[in-house]
Parts: sequence; C-alpha cells; structure tokens
Amino acid sequence: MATILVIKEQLKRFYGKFDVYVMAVLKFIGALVVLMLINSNIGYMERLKNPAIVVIASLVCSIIPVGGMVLLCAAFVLAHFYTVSLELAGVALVLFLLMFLLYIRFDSSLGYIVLLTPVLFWLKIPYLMPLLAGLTGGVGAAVPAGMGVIIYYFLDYAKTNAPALSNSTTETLLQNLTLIIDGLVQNKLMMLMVVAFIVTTIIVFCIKSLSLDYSWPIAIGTGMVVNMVILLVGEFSLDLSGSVMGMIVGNLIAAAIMFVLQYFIFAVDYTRTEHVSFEDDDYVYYVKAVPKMSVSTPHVNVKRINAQRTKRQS
Amino acid sequence: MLNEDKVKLMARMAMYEKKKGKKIMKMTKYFQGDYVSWNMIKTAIAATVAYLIVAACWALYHLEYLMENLYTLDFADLIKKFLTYYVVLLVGYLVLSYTIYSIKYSVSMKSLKRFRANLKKVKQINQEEAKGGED
Repeated sequence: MATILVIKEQLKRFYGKFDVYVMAVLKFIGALVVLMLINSNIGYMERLKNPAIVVIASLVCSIIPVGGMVLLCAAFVLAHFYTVSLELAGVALVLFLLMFLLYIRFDSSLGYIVLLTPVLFWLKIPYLMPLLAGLTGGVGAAVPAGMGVIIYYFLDYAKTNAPALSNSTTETLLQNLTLIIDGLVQNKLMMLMVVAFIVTTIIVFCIKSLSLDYSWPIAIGTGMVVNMVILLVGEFSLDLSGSVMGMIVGNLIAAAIMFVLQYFIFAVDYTRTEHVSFEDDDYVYYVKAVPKMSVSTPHVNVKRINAQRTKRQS
Repeated sequence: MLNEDKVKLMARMAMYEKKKGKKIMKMTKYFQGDYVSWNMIKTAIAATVAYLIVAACWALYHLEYLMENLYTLDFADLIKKFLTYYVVLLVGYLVLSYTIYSIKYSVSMKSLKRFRANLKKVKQINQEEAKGGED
C-alpha cells in the first residue's frame, strides 16, 4: 500500500513539473494508437497506411486540441471508405455531420468520448466506456458515449461488408445505400448497447455525485452491475446470440481497470503549474505559480504515510 | 518595491484570463437575452440542417417506393408529417439550448464578478502606492 502511495505522489509531482510535455506525449501516443487501430481495421487506402504518414499525423495531434484529433480521425475514416465505396463514405459523412450538428456543437469538450468508444471496442474493453464517461464527463457524456457505439458498429459493418459494397455502379448505388442503412438501423445489438451505455453512464454519474463516502467505487460497482443486467435482459428478450460469459468477464475486467485508473489518475489532484505574464506601471512580471501540496487531506491513506514517517524517524 | 499582495492578485487574474477569460470576455459583449437568443438561432439552423439531412436520407432509402407510388401518394399527409416532426425537433432543441446557454451565461458572469472585484482591489493597492510615493 505504501509503495502505491509513493508512486501516486511521484506521478503527481512529475505531472506538476512537466505537464506540457506529458500532455503532448500522451496525446501523441493516443493518436498513434487510434490511427493504427483505424488502419488495421478499415485500412483500405494504402497511402494512409504508410507509417510515416501515421507518425506525422500523430505528431500534429500532439500539439493541437483534442477536437482537432477527432476531426483528423474522422477524415482518416472517410478517406478509407472513399477508396472502397462512395456510398460508405457518404453514409459515414452524414453520420458525422449529424453528430456534430446535434450534439458536439453544444459541448465540444466531450467529443473525445465519441472517438474513445470505438477504440475501446477494438481493444476488447468496451464496457469501460460508460464507467469512464459517467465518472469523468457528467450526465452529458451519455450522448457521445451512445454516438460512439453507433460509430463502432458502423465501422464494424463496413469492415465485414466492404468487399460486397466495393463494386458500385450508378445502378447499384441506391441498392448499396439501402443495404448500409439497413445494416445500421436493424442492428439490434447496437441498439441494446446504446441503451445500456447511456443508462449506465447516467447512473454512474448520479451515484458519483452523491455525497457518500466511497461514492466513486460504489458508482463503479453499481455501473458494472447495471450494465450487465441491461445487456443480459436485452440479449435474452431480443434473442441475440452473444456470449454471456464473455460479457460478464468483460464487465468485470472493465470495472477492475476503472478501479486502477480511478486510484492513480482521477483521484489525484493534477492542479498544474501555471506560467503567466502581466505588467503594471513599473514592472513586467513573469510568474510561475506552483500549486501547494496539501498533505492534510481527510483520507485514511494519508494517515498511513505519517505513520511510516514516524517509524523511520524513530 | 514589489507589492506581494498585488502580484498574487494579478497572477490569479492572469491565470483566470488565460484559462477561460477569452470566451467570457466575448460573452460580456452581449446582454444575457441577446447572447441566449443568438445561440438559439444558431441551434435552430443546425437542427434544421440536421433534419433536412435525415429527411433526405429517408427519401433516398424509400426512393423506390416513392417513385412507384408517385401519383397515388398522399402528399398533403406526407408534408404534414414532415412539418410536425420538424416542429417537434426544433422546439425540443430550442428549449434545450435556452437552458444550456442561460446556465452558461450566468455561471460565467458570476466568475467575472470575482475577477472584477480583484481588479478593484488591485486598483486600490495602486492608488495607495501612489499616495505612499507622494508622501
């Protein structure tokens, strides 16, 4: 336990010192992973699969805001689809446009959730998303989480059906469009997932905001159970052939990951060192404002640090 | 001489300005009513475009049916439905955007009030310093 706390403290200090670089590196790695996943799953345009292009695009992502990264990934997806079939690219464009017009325009700060959901699906830990969205985003995060699910199932549909859609002529254009829209609208599993994610996100957020002790762990646990119940009931009532065991294990893994993430990342106060400059009549000030480390937080764990310190001293 | 209190205040203000000041300064150009209605207009346009896209998709999807029944279709009914859905969507979105932007505005103005109070304090310190210099 003590070593974990030391690691936590070191993480905090490190981040406080080098936050600009840490953020850039994290964004670079994130963009690299996302673009590589896109390329490996729906990489139809060979030119975009060139490692140099992927690295350069990731470097660009490391210095632009997250919203720019979401746009860039959308552009990658559209380019890949365009290579295979105009219809796919068209439907994807419509889907992205609708999401932008109806939601992201209101609150662009949560756009990353739309991007993160398919990524988590590809990484086989999709059930992490509602927990993450509820704990970090708030109630509004339920909408982009649901959108992310739709995007993932659309990409998945494209991945399996791209060969059939690739030979499009003007005559088959309409037929293909109908096929794609059918594939999207009649996907019961997708609808079930959307509902499960939205409900779980909202419940997790509500429990997290209660003024309870341990509201975060309780929120994670309840969220996991709610998600499982909705999916189980849904799979049986809609007669879907999903692996129940896989779903339960997936949920357990997601909750475990969330516990670790919560402990190391979200429970730590990453107040940043700020650099500002201003002037008055006599001086120009270049101020570096370093947040104070408050030791006396009312948390049981802190007492343990003190206990260890006294031991060392004695 | 450096005045420590003043530097602290100014540093806090500079941090505020850097973080969210720009957005809020833009907001201060508008009264609440103007700000909210301007954003509601933008939302209405966005919702209209989105609705037209969906309607176009629906029409494309059912193109065959529409073409076959071009002469027997009840267009009046179709247009009525089209408009009803549009109005429902629009009203829903306008109510939503009214709530969101009103909250955004009042929260921002509250934080701006604190900023202005700090500004006053700095001004006071400056005046005191000037007085001290004269003595």
